[in-house]
Amino acid sequence: MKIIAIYSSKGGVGKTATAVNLAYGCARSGRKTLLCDMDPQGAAGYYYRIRPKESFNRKQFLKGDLEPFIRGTDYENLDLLPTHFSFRHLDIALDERGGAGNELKRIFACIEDEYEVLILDCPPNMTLLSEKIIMAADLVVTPVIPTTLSILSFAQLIKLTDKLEVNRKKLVAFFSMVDRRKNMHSDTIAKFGKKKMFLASEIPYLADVEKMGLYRQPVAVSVPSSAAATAYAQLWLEVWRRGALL
Amino acid sequence: MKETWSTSTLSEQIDLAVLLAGLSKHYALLEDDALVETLCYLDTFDWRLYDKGLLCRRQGRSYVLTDFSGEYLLQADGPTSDQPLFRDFEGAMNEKLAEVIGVRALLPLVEIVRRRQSFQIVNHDQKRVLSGLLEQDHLMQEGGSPIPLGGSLRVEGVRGYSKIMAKVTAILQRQGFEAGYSAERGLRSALAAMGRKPLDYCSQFSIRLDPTETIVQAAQKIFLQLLAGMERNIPGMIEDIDSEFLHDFRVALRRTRSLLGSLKKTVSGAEVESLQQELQKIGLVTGPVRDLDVYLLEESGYHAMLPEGLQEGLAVFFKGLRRQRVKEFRRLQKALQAKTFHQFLLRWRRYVEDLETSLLPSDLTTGHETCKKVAVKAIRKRLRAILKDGALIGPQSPDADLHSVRIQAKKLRYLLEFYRSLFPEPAMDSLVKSLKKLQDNLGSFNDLSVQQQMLARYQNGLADGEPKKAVLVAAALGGLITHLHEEQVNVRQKFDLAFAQFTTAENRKLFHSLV
Repeated sequence: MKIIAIYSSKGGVGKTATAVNLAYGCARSGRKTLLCDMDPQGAAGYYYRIRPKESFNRKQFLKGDLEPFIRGTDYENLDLLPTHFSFRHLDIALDERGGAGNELKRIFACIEDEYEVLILDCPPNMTLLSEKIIMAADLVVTPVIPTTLSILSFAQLIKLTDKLEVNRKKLVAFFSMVDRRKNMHSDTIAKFGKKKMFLASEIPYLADVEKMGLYRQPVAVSVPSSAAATAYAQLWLEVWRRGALL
Repeated sequence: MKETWSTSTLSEQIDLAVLLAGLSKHYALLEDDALVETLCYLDTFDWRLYDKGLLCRRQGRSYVLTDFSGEYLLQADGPTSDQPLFRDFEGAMNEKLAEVIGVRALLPLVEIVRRRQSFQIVNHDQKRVLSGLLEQDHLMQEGGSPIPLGGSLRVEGVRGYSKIMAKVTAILQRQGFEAGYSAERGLRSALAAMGRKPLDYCSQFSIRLDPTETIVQAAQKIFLQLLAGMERNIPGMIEDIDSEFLHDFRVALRRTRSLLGSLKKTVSGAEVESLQQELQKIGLVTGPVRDLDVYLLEESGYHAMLPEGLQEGLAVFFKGLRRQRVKEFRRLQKALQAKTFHQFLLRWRRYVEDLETSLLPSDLTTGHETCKKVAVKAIRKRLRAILKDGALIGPQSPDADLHSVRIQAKKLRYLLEFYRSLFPEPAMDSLVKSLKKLQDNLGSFNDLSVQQQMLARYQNGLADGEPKKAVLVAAALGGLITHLHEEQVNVRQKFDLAFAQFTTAENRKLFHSLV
């Protein structure tokens, strides 16, 4: 099972939209996929119209008792593990448990045989949980808005991976919410886009992506022939190729 | 989490909205447009597919072979003709059908109109929590309105949403649906609506007799069953659907003649003599086409007997046979459609139905013997004759002697088949089995001899044809005759062994215990 984390310490950069659409692309390519919503805000579950079961919370998650709480989406090969409000203290709980080992790998071990790809939609912060995610993932995909602040937070992420002694090649970035009419966007892309860590695919700032909250479907379903659907399909191909090279 | 439910008690079309009305208001039913398709089940006249646990259905050019549960085994495009043969198919379907249906044609059994309606159940988030497919069958009738047959409902749950699955399941149970689906059951209910049932024709003869019945009562039953068998094959013979209609007809005819012959001394109604002549005539009328069929069915076997150089002549020979069959078949068809033929069948039926009342006063005592007693006598007599004549066969015996043993064996076989139910089954089975082996040897010997004679006759007639072709054909036939003769010598050498196996001490004991 390959673990792909969609991560950024910054909020509002399009993480959940990326996780939701990449998970759909992955499942469409025939791979049995689980999208795990780790963000207590629960947006990924919302997009797939899935609410957590009442009996589910942080405790079951930490025990690795995931199977009874996984729910099928409307799409073939794609299941979702919803988040829970109690996930907001997941990092504290991880800290209390101590252990320098790879806690998340242990938690996800129970579903390893069932899924080929696990996609994590991560909460926007830089905590112990983020460290465990970076260590457990085979690939960390980061959406970067082409602005100075976003670039800065990406630089921080690189620093963190170095500190954790994690192979930098695991890190993959792409430009998100791109508006080519803005000089700053064009300039930033010109300056950083050539770097190896950046993928060629970019996701433009599109109304169809914003409307996902309205349709509650991946863009490839709600607006199949849109620019947004094409952009995410391309992004998925590139991400998968990058992951396969590792 | 897939479940299938089915119902056979449908009086009208199922309305999903009504069926699932018991779901709470938190759920909504979304129905797709219904699709209507027509499909046709096929099998051979003698149910060869069904007998092997297989079902074949056709939709347009697409043929599907399934097991009784409806599980796909093979799917292939095939002919749109009404009565396809295995050779009309290609690839795996061709091989499978060749193995199971042999020379028989597939005939349409029932035509079914199937309405397929897929649906989903969504929750208050408009999230799909269950999907399903409703199939409802109707029987097409010529000139009438379709008859509802039954239906199945396949429901598939979504992971993590088990409550709705349980609710739907409970509703289906309440509505009289049963768990599981059987394609065979669907076919059976369609057939029942037409007043038919599977395996309602079998070329093997089987009848239940009561040992205390008089021989006249028993004979009447057997005759009537044989007559029904003959009558059922007539339309297929006239239409020339496949070679086995004629074959089965002739076998039933031979059995009839054999039984009538064996009863001559018991039941001697005044009409017997003339009836026997008429039955014999039917045998003669139907003979030539069957003889030609035997060769034509073996065509590839004949080709395999000869080297490349003689193939051309053989092909010309077979072309001639096919032409001859067309001619002979036309003659047969005319005879079968003739008034006199049907008048005779009617006459025969009346005779059989009145068998008891038509007995002459002098026949009354013998006619009222129990069938068991007559059966024992007849079997004993036939058996003695075979044992005596068979033991006399030596390497120098003329072919005619073997021929006579073959006829005796055949008559014994018919007797064993007619009266099988009067004797203990295991002993009877084992005797029929060893008799069959002896018959196989004698039958092969006879077939080989008949074939050689026929080929030689054909060869002699060649002089009238085109000389260049005649030489080719004569060479091929010469090759065949040589090959067949060698095989016949071979078979003849094996007679002693076959006879010895039939007359083992064990078999003799078995026979004694029976008769």
